[in-house]
Amino acid sequence: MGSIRVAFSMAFVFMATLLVPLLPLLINGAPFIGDSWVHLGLARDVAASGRYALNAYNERWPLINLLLAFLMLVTRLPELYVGQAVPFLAGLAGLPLYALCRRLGLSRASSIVPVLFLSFNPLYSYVTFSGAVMKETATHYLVILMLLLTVSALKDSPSKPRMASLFLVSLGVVFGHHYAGLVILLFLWALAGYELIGRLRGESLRLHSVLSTAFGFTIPFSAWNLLNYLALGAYFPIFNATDGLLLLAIFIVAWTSLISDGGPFSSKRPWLAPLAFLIAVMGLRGGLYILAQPVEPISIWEARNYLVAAGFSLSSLSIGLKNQCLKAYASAAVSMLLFAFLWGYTQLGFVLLIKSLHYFGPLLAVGAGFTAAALLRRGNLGRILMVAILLFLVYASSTGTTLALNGLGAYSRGEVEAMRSFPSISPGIRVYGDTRVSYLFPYASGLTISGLKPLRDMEHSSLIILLKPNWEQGFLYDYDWVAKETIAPDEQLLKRGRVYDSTYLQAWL
Amino acid sequence: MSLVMSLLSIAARGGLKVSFILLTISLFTGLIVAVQSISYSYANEALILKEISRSPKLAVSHKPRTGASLRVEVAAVRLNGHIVILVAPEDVERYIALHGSRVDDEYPGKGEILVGERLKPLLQGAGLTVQGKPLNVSGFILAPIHLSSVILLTSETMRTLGVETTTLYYEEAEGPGMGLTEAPSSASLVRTVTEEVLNTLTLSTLLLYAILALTCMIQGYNVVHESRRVLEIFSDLGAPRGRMTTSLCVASLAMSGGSVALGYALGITASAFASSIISVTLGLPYIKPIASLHLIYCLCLAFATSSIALASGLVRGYSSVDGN
Repeated sequence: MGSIRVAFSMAFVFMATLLVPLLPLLINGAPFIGDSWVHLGLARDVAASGRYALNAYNERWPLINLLLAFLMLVTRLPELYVGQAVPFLAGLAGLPLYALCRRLGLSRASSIVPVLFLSFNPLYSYVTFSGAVMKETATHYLVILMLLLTVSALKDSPSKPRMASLFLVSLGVVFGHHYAGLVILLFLWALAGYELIGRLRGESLRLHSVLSTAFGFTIPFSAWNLLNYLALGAYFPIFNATDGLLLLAIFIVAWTSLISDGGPFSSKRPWLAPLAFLIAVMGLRGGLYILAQPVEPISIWEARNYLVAAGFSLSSLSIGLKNQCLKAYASAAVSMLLFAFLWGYTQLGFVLLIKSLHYFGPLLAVGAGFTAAALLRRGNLGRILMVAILLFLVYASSTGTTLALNGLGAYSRGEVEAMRSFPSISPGIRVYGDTRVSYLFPYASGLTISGLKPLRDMEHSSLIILLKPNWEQGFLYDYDWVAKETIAPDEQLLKRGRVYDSTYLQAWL
Repeated sequence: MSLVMSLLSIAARGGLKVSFILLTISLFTGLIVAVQSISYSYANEALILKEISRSPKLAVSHKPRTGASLRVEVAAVRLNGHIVILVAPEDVERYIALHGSRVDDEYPGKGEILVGERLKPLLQGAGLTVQGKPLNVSGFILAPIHLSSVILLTSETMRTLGVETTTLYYEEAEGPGMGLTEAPSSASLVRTVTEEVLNTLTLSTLLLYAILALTCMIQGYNVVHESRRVLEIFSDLGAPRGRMTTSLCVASLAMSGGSVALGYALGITASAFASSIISVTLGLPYIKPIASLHLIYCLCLAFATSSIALASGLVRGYSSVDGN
């Protein structure tokens, strides 16, 4: 491929990857997911007061809150726009991903493909993650950067500035989000394990630098999470000893499955990665989880999308797994996905599965890069095939993106404005609303929501706030969808008085 | 130490044919762990069945069933992001007795609360702020477990908090329903069958340990004979026999440790996947393999058995090779 064509493709791909995370703002005028309002509110308070407290759960991850507060103070732009720094950063993660692929030995043309694949992966809606102003999204860039720095440190001699950069990025991940931190922890120890084996085989001399990086991450990660655990009183058994042992067991299996370079159970045949892909599809579309939201049976067209995505991303992954770093990342990413699946088929298990996909995505993307490299070596036919597959992937992922942008996780500018102009409520009146309302309401009007329960169980003098998607699609209860009829059937709603009515918001007393 | 590292390096490069030993220890440990963890997980659930089948001691209803019912006000509040149950019985002492609870320190008076043990991390000094109102802690509820996340207070204190409450009525349950008797009782049957199954499995597991020990010993002996040329080089280079023996013992510890860790991982993952597949295909509940002291005991025993047997086999083999 000519250099001009590559440069043109690169520009197009980077524009697309920057655009996808900004879609919620560009289309709906507001960020994705309720967590966004919590962080925007926290950053607004920090910028106004100049003080940062470490009390609540969302304050315990200062990376995003301080980043937003800093940008608010420096730019003086409205919060809604400043908040877009986080999706923009997620879009920028394409740059270290491109550099990582180049470090892994891919050509310039092949390295563009993972960047595109990351944003247009039909397995899950990337926009639900990258378009949100939340902790994981802010840490995403650092996770990819951490991979790049580790690969670079191992490829070249580990210089002091490079190790210092690694340590700084590690701290960013530690203060960014615990799940991302756990993935990086597994990645670094998997790498240390592979290096130890390499040292015994006389193939590697980098064990000391890897061990220092691993310890340099493990100590702040453990200290910060232990502190949070103690301070937040996280005593409810969400993650107990059994889960810890299960994760460790899966990690050892995933790590061992890639240790050898030949044979049926080796990095040449990374069978756990296709299994993880299959499990992800089953988890998302198999109706395995106990959720209120009905799951439509998978159609033949969706199965085709998944097959193309799996084939394109996994068929040449084994070539990439010759690199120890990618091997270690594959161990970590696959472990987290399998663990999420084996954690249990509850709502929390489903949330874990979705979270694990955010870290499985970069692995699939890099795998797609190696398939692209193989196709590009086959001349014009290969190139045409590659472009056709990429266009198909963009088309296949657009269904999920469209659904997400119109779904219950998305907010619209109209809702935000309606909330802001909502009149103040007399003290003593209980206000009810679903998860979307309970996140946006405290941010926009400073009032707290008493949760959600069926209308028949609410007190007569209470107020229920409905946003447009509530009367069009239903309610969001925690992360679960509940039908409108279950909460607020029309006959019961009409027994109450409509005290506020706008295109986006209704309040019934 | 360098001799041990040299031996391990040679093993990693395939100079010592130890791969089958590692595989054997891993598979045996995996089998033991899978059997033990899944059977204990199911046994754990069986004990719950037993609890369910037992006659209830306490009856709870929305309306008083008899004149002896105890009126209890219940509310849910959020503390530090967690939902906590507030319970205000009209007679705290009777409520405690009905649950057969164990309490540390005093019953709560006005403006005081009795706190479940699991809520201890939420305390701010000797008090706790609930709904913005600071309350003194009079003591802690140590048992039973279902009260460990509960805050017990008087009705008067509950009213001052201004929370929305639900009224429930507690009383001692009547005797076994409908006057039915079982012979044998389902509770004792479940318990006996579970214990029998676990005992049989323990016996089979002990047999597996014995086979593992024998296999390790024989394979260790054979490996030394197969790799006699490598070991002869060490002897030719003047490695002292004592140090060589110690190094073989340390190497066997390292190999057993690694293999037992892999076996544990295989056992846990396989049993979790098996339960998951059964759950998905047959619709049975998914039972996660539980972490228990028994599992740690199994792993320690597997490690001790395999390392001692392997060390004996290697040392015996080395003695015979070095003696020739």
